[in-house]
This record gives sequence, C-alpha cells and structure tokens, in this order.
Amino acid sequence: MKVCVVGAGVVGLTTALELQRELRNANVTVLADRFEQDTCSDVAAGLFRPSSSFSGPTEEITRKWISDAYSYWDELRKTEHSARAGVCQLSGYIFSSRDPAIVRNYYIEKVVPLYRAATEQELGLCPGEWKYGSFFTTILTECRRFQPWAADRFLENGGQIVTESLESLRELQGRYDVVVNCTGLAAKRLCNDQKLVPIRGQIIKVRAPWVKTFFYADFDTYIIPGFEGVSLGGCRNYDSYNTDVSPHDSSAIRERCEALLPSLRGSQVIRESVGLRPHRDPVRVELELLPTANGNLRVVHNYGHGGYGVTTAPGTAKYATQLVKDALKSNSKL
Amino acid sequence: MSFKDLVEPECGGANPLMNLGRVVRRDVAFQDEGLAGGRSSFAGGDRELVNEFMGQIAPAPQSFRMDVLLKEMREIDAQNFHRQQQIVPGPAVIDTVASGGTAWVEQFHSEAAQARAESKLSSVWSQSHLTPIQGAVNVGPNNILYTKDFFDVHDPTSMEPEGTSIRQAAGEMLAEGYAARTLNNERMNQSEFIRFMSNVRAGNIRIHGGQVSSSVWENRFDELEASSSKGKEEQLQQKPTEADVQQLQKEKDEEEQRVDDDWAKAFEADKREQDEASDNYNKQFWERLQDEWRTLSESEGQHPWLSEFSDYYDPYKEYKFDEENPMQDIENAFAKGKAFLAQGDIPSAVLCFEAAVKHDPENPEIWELLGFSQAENEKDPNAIAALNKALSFNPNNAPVLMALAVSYTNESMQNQALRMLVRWMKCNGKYEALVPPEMVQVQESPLASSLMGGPNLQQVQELFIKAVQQSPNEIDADIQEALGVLFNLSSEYDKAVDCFQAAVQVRPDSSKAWNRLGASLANGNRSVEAVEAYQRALSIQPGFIRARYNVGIICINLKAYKEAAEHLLTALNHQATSIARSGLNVSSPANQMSTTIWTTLRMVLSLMNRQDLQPAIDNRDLETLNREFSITNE
Repeated sequence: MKVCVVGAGVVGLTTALELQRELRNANVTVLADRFEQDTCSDVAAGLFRPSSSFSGPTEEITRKWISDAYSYWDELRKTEHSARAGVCQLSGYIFSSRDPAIVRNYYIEKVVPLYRAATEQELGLCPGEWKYGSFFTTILTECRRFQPWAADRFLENGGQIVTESLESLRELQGRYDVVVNCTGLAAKRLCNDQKLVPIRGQIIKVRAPWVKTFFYADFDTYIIPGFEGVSLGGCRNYDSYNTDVSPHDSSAIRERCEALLPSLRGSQVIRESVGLRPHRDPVRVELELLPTANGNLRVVHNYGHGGYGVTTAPGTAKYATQLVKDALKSNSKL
Repeated sequence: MSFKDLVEPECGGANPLMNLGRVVRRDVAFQDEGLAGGRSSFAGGDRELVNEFMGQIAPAPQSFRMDVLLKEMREIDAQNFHRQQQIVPGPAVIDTVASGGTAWVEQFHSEAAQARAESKLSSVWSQSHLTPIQGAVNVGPNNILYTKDFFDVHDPTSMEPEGTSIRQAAGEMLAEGYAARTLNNERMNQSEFIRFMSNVRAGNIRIHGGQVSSSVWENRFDELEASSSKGKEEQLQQKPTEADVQQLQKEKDEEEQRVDDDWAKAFEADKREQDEASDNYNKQFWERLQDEWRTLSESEGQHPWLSEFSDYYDPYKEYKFDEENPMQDIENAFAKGKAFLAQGDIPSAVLCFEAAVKHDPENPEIWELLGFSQAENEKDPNAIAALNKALSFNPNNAPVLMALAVSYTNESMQNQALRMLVRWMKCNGKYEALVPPEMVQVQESPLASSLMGGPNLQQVQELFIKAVQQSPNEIDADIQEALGVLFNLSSEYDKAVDCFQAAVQVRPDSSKAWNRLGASLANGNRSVEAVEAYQRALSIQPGFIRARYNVGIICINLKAYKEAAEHLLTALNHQATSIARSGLNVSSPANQMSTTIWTTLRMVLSLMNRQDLQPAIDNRDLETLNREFSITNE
C-alpha cells in the first residue's frame, strides 16, 4: 500500500510520521520541491498559541485538533529527544492597552497547564500603559530543529523522501493509493483553491539570550525566545505575495519591540525572514475523490493552517490520518 | 497603572480614571500596531476631543467629581460611536491611485501607504474584536468601567455606584494608609490585605452587599493566594471593608444606570454561560484526552516505532466474540446456522455459528464455516481469526487457505496473502510438485527469514501460471480464482477479470465468484460491468452483505453518495435485524454490524459534507441515519 504526502513543511512531516505510526503495512513517501529552510515553517517562531480565529469544519473538530496537537507536543517535550527536536516549554505574557479580549484565548485556556491574569505588578514589567494582561505557559517548537529531526525519524522508519515538482495532483494517479496534500500555499495553484490567502509575515531573529519569556503586545508585536535566537515580530499583510524583506517592516518591528523591551536595543541581528502564511477559513482537512483518466484518485487535503501551522500540525495530522485509513479500508472486497 | 502614581499626591498627576477616557475615545478603526503607532493616531485624530475632555476635568485627584466625569464620558462616547461607523482609509492612498500612472506603485511602497495598509489589515484583525468592543462601549460610560473589569464574570447587578464608590473607597483607604505611613512597611505592602485592596480598587474583585465576588479566573488566583499562609488574614480583614461598603451603598442611584445594568446583565449572563459551557467542554475534553493517553501509555509497552516484522504482522490472532451472543443456549446452533446459510441469510448464520463454537470449541468444521460466513458478512478481521483457528486443527485445509488468502488481500496484507496461496498450492495434489522447496522452507521458520523475506509476488505469479499451463484444456476454477486474487494483489485488474470470468463460466451459481468478478471490475474502473456482476451475486444470495457493500463502493466511485449511503445502511440494517430474524431477544445489535461498513459510511457522509451526522456514526445510531435517508426496515 503506497501513500504519498505532498509537502515537507511542518504539516507534511507530522502527517507523514503519523501515517507511518498508524499504517503498519504502508509505504509512505514524502514528495516536495522545498525543504527545511525554504519552507514557510522555518520562518515561524513556533509558539503553541492558536488564535480564536482558527477554525476547522466544526467547533468540536477544531478543539479536538488543538487538544491532540498539544498532547503531541507535550509528549515530545517530555522525552529525551525534545531538545534535538526543538521542543521546549515556554511561558510569557500578552499585554493589551485596548481590549481585554485580546489577552484571553478561547481555545487554550483549559488546555495549557497555566493561563492566568497578569497581576498589577506584571502589567508594569514592560514600559507602556498596559491595562490588561495574561501570563501563560505553553510549548515552543523550533522548526529549524524540528524539521530535520522529523525527516530523520521518517527515514529511519522506512520512509522515502522524493524531490519533485508537480503541476497537478493527478500526476500521482497510478503511483500511489492515497495522496495527502500538505502543500500549504501551493495548494492554491495545485487545487485551484481560491479560498487560500497568503498572509505575509516578517520577523527579525536577534541574539538576545537574556530574554527568557515571550511577550505579546496587542497582537501585532511579539518577542519570542527560541533555541538559537529571539524572534521579533511581526506583521500580517493580508493577500500579499511579497517575499522580500521590507526595511520598513523591519524598522517598525524593531521600534515596537524595543519599546516593549528596551534591553533589545542594539542586539545583534542573526537574520531577517519573510513567510507567507497559508491562510484558509476553514482549514481544509478532508477527503476528495479526484477524477482522473484511470478512475478516482483518493486525496486527503491537509492545508490552510495560516499562522497556526506549527501549533496545530500534529492535531490535523491525526485527523487526516484517520481519513486516509477510512479511504484505504473502503475498497471493493473480493 | 502603577500603585505609586495613584497614591502619591502629585499635582496634576495622571488620574487613573483618565485612562478610562482614553479607552473610550480611541478610534478602533485606526488601530495601529504597538505603542508608538497607537499614540500617534490617538494624538492626530482626536486632538480636539482630548482638549475638550481634559479642560473639563479638574486636575487634582482628590477633588474629581464622579457625576461630571460620567456625563462627559457619555457624551464623548456618543460622538465616538458615530465616528467608529466610518472606517475610512486615509485619503492619501485614494488620491495617489486616482492620479494614475506608475507613480502610485512607488507611493504604495512608501511609509504612509504602508501604515494604511497595515491599519486596514488590523481592522480585518480587529473585526473579530470589533463587536465586543462596540457592544461594550455603546451603552454608556458604565460599561467602560465594566469592560475594564474584564475578569469579572459574576454579578453585574449592582454595577456602577457601588462599584466605583467601593473602588474609590479602597483607593482612598490605601492613600490614607500610605500618607499615615502605616503602610510604608515593606512587609505590609506585600500583605494579602494590600493586594486585596488594590484588586478591589482595580475592580478585579468586586464587593457587593458585603460579599466578595470574583470571576472564575480570580477564583483560581484567590485559591493560589489562599493556599499561602496569609489566607486567614484575608478573612479577618474583610470585616472592616464590609462596614465601609454599607456606608457607601447610599450613594447616588441614577436611573439610566439601571437600564444599562439590564443590558449589561443580559450581555454578561450570555457571556458567562458561554464561558462556563466552553469551560466545561474544555475540561471534559481535556480529561477525556488525558484518560485516553493514560490508557494508551499503559497498554503500549513498546515504543510505537519498534514493531514486529511487517511480514509476520497479524493483528487478528485471537477470535473476538461479539459479546452477549443471545444464542448461547441453543443446542443445534450449528445446524440452524447451516440452514440460514442455505437461505442466504449470512448475519443470522454467523450468530448461530458463534454460539455453536462456544459450545464446541474444538470442532474445526464450525470454525471453518464461521470463517467463511464472517468474510461474506464483511467482517474480514473476524474471518481471519476464525480461519486461522480452523487451520490450527488442520494445516492443509485448502478451502480455508484460499479464504485466508482472499481476506488477507482485502486487508492489504500482501505477504500473508502470498504465503497462504503458496501453502494452498502445496496442499493441492495436482500442483504440489510445482512449488519450489525454498518457498516452502521460508514458511516453516519465520524467525530465520528476516534475510529471505516473504515469498515474492512475481515468483508466486509464475508458479500459478505454470499451474494453469499444466492443464490447458480444462479450466480449473480454483486455480483461476487464486490467480485472480494474485492479479488483484499486483493491481493487474484486467487480468484478474479474465480469471474470474473463467471461474464463473465453470461455476455460474457461485455468488462468491460473481462477487469477486465484480470487485475486480470495480478495481479496474469498469464500474458499470461491476454492477451487473454484483446483481448476479445478490440474486443468488440476497443476504450477501459483502456484495451489497461493494455496490455501495461503486456508488461512491460514481459520486452517487446518497445512493451509496442507502446501500450501506441497507446492509447494516440487515445485520442489525439478524437477531430478530433468528427469533431471539435483541441484546445489542451494534455488535453484529460490520466496522468496515461503518467506516465507509463515515467517509460517505464527510464526502457529502454532512459533518453534523458524525456523532450518529460515532454512536452507531442506526435509527437516526435511517431517518435521514428514509430507509425502512421490512
């Protein structure tokens, strides 16, 4: 039984690993034309914090994705591999001067181990007139470490990685029994899905090892310490395809972050990156029977996670794997 | 808002209540990112309002008058509400676009345009927040204070006069304490009481009628605090506060505020319900998930990635009885079962055989028939277990080996299927000479075969082709069927069709053969011909669950999802009612139904985008689904 996962970002890799775990008899192949540092996942800071706007087909399913994803990251965090996999625990603050709703999180308040209001004193930690704040403990996944680690695990389990560009998913008919489409933004072209919208984001990675907690301010400003550097962000440019680093965004980000945390002034820049978040409402995780010349190709889609790919990848991977299993079981029986 | 600012009596210092003014006036549409951006928009857009507001408020903190302040806020808010309606992008962009030419491209990249673009997207972002903000801000200044107490979910009843007064009182108390230097002591600062009072001042904890009420969040916070040693102190300190509270309760009582209270009450009640519901939901979910994880970690001794050789992987070793078999006490279950088989009622036959085998577990014949029937009942896992049991009594049982090969093929367990086929060949007197000894040896010592692997598909095919060639004039239906199975394994469906067509020529009354022909046609995308073959099979054996299931699969391939669901439900109903047909008490029809059929039905429903029926599938709620698809049970 041959299954192909198209796309090697965090969603593709977690799906491939889950498929290997659940389908003992299957040969799983990851097929992609961009890997590791060329993927959108690489730009992400990787903090587990799904926004209230993240939505799947139903609320129940969405919550299940988020719980499953948290369990996955948490289990991984507790093993000896966690550092090599780039997974660690991280706590921090969200401050807002405008709206109490911003500092609350509809999805994860009961999922993460701690989510509480910030005290008066904590509101004074950062310069600025912060009125509302919360402090919570969650998990960070550094994709620069996770992607190579996951790929190694995948290969160890007998998987194959193929470098190939596709014009259409139909090209895979006859080569595989089921195809799992984890192509993110490329699904717009591959599936002609107009609901997929890139949301451009830019970050600056700086060397600031004294930053030990994350800070969010009114949502568009964030400071997230990772394994190798601190991610300063960010921006959300809806429907922008610009992949160049913009010096204006850069100085805006710098200014906002330094206003929030003055100690960052003068910190050394490691790199600046731009990523196009593949946003779709709802996130598409479903089976499609794609008609081709030789019958129907079973495609399970798993894309459209937007800015919450790293966060929710394992949850959607589990759901997608169940869809693959159902599809494989549903054969004509001799 | 720092403690120091409030309490130290600086002249003209920032009054914390002024912050509230800022909250009111901030035009959400022009929300910019971060501090710097925010400030500038604030300054730019609402300069006149700011001045107006500032001018009318007395600078000294002690002498502010609540009613004046509230009135101002209400007026400003009314204006602000109207302003908020127009979310207009800056004129600069429109002008540059209108002027045309490539100039606008450059200007688009300029800072001003950037800021506009960003404010636009922030407005997209804030769409989700716009409603709550508007909703809260809309109804007058009371709710401004109210939104500030965002952690507070309970009791909006006695909102404003008490709320503000108490907070004022708290503030004053702390101010006095500070002035009198009694609170200057480091340790006093940290005490529960001070923290409690500052929370009251901030509005996080509300004192209503002498009772301290706090939100769900604050409860947690309080728990944490209470668990510390100073918990008891807090209890004592509450008494003096109560006295003050009663005093201040006689403050002004404006009518408008009551109206706002009602509105706010309703809003809050809703919000509270929602919060509680989602709290409960989340809690349940999380607990359920934790349980699952616990059981999973307990049952899985090994690391999931260390697994048995896939060659010898067999998940169906033990036969799992469908519990509560109601036919357990019937003596001649075996005979009854055979009768049902003759009738073509497969599910009832299965029930009988299960009962029979419980009585007489050492009877290979019953296991055999049970195995065959379960396969036709679309329950391959059970079939494999039963057939293996039969095989344990007689390892050279040819029909059993063939049936096993078929079931393994359906479950995509290629290696096992090939092994069975080779063994089948070996048992068959006519062809056993053809089987090369190495192939057989591989079977005997599974542990040593890690180097050899299982029998090779290619090799087995050659073997069978040789067997066919041995007798070119007559068609050996068994060989043809075996070869057909092999070609299914190698995905050479047209060849498989040829084999099965030969088989049905020899055995036109074998519903099994017709079904296999149909399946091979379906796999080869010859759906229309497949339907004809299935119809033949069903006409011979109307209770042939597997054939009906296959018809459902064809419908899916042809995108006739509704018809597919109907066929699958027909099959499930047939299984569910088998107990009744056997004339016994219905215990749990759910166990009689095939998991495979349910799985495929789930797939069909999601292809139809009927996620609302997912719970029905999870609960195996046949009734609901019958209703949805208008299926009646004759």
